[in-house]
Amino acid sequence: MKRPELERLLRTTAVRTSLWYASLYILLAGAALGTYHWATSRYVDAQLYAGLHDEFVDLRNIAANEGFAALTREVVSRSRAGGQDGRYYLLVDKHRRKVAGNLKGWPKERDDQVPVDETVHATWIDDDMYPSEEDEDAYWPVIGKRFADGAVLVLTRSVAQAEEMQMFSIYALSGLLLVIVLLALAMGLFMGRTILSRIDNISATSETIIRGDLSRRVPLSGRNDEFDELAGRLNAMLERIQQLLQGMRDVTDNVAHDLRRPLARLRNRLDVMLLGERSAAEYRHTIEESIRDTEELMKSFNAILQIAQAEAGALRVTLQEVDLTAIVQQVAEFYLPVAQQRAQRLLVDAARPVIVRGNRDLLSQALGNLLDNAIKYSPQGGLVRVQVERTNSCARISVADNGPGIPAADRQRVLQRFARLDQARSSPGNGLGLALVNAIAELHAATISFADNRPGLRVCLRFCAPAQQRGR
Amino acid sequence: MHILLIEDDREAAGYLLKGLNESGHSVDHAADGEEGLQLALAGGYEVIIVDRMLPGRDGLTVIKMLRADGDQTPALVLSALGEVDDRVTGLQAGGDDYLVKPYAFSELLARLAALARRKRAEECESRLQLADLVMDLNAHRVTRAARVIRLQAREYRLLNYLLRHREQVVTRTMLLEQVWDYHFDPQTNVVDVHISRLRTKIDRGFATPLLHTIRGVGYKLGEAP
Repeated sequence: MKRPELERLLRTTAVRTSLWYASLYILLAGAALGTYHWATSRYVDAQLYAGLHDEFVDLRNIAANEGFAALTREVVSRSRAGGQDGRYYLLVDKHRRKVAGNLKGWPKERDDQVPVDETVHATWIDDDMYPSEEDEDAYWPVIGKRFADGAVLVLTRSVAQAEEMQMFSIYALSGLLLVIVLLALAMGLFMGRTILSRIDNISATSETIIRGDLSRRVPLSGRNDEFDELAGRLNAMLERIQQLLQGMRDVTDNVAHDLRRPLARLRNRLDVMLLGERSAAEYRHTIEESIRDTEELMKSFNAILQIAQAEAGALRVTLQEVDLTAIVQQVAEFYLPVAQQRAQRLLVDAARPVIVRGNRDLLSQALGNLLDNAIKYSPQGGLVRVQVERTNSCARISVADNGPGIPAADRQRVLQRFARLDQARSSPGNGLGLALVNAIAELHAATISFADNRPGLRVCLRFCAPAQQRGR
Repeated sequence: MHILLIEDDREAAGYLLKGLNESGHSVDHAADGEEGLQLALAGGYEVIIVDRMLPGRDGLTVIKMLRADGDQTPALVLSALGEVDDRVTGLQAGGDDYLVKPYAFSELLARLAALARRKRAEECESRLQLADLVMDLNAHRVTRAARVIRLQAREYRLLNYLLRHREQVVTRTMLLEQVWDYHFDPQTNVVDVHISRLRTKIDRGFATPLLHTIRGVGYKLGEAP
């Protein structure tokens, strides 16, 4: 592993966390070991002291019951067996001369160092008393008794064995702790590497995307873990961005297509005018025609721009509480003369106010486009019906006509046509008008749908919760 | 009419100056907000045309400062920003009308005339009259040659607007905005249909037509086309 890579790995959350945990383990385990050591040594000492005291009582009884000679024999025999397991005895006469026992002898100096009060004391044993080389200077538990004749009996036990046992358990536990810490570190490193490799996956994908390939997606591991979730979100975001960009591209293409033709026509007409001398009337006519062309161009341009902006969510519009019923009534009244010209009836079913958050002008425009289509496609003497209803949390506007309608199979296609505003635009107003309705609906978080009016078409705009709740 | 034009686009301003002059108006031109504000404060203009985006001081600030100074000269805002909210902020800043570029020159002329007229006559008349056509505002009654003409509410509003701007050319967009408060382009020319209905009611059966169509521009309610 190269240095920077290692540094990067050490910076990962997983490695940092495992380092923290390892340190915590060491602290905790250290405390546990300390406690263990303290408790066991207390226990071992207690055992040792009790055993020593019992044996002392035993010997004292022998001395009391059977006499000094019996005690001497007993000490001699016990000394022989005792050497191995660290039991030590010493019996001296009143001149401190050794009578029996496996300790070397009475300490030459410091006579008072050996306790003779028939209780166990931790006592410094120096080399005057040492039975063998291997035993070191240490505090040993010692118990002693001075008999009436001045002889002294001393019993003691080596603590070396007990200490060895304790040291062994401490070593074992320390070894275990080391293994745990090493494992924790290894695990942290492993997790860190795993996380890094997943992150690297995402980074690599974003790198490609930054370089311009928007079709790339972050690969999923299939483990359904938080990384997959993150990758899923990222992919969904990329999907949306790609859609928006595609939409923009479509719009640009369509703008180019929609505007190029009339621009070319305009240009040609003016070019031809310049080819020869014309009469004033002819000039005037051409200029008037050209102005009309620019007007058409502007209309298309505005509509396309508005659609594009609405679809890109970039239309700067303040939504306020508006009454759909009032809007519908006004727009219907506005279009009524047009319907009457075609001997059609225009019915409005809208009585109570239905409040949604929206923009009056845009909603009127959308509704106007729908009514315009309905009137256009309904036959002479037909019926156009507009309804406004509130159902639970949703508000609904429907515009129904009895024109030719749209076959069920084609409705999806028509909706798609809105989104992409392609084809079928040779009849200018129409395609853009419906596309605009769709864009305005989207801006209001409303959904547009088509149904069969038997005969005819019924377009529904549903305004559900989100757009309304935004302001409340 | 004495007009102040504040517009930084020299070429556009040149065309406007020429057009307005040829239409019989006298025009002063300022190329930035600062100069425009000075000229406007000096006063004497019937209408101010101000571009929204100007170097130095933008058009809306100019209007705001003018209004803060108590100057109520009607102002028409020209803008390349045509979204719904842009218009609202333009009018809130104290603009009296808002025209999105590009616009037809005839549209500009018609709006200028309407603005000047509005200043001249914010009348609280109780009756409007043109020749033998009379609208009694108190009684809500319209008569022509003493014959009562029944109008629906919207037709009444339409006629009311036309009468207030009698002998003036009004465009379809002006009618849409003023009578219906719509700021979009209805696909079919619905306004034409409304006008023709109104024309049937007020002109049919009378020797002199009052409601004239001005080709390529709009309509005019007047004694002569």
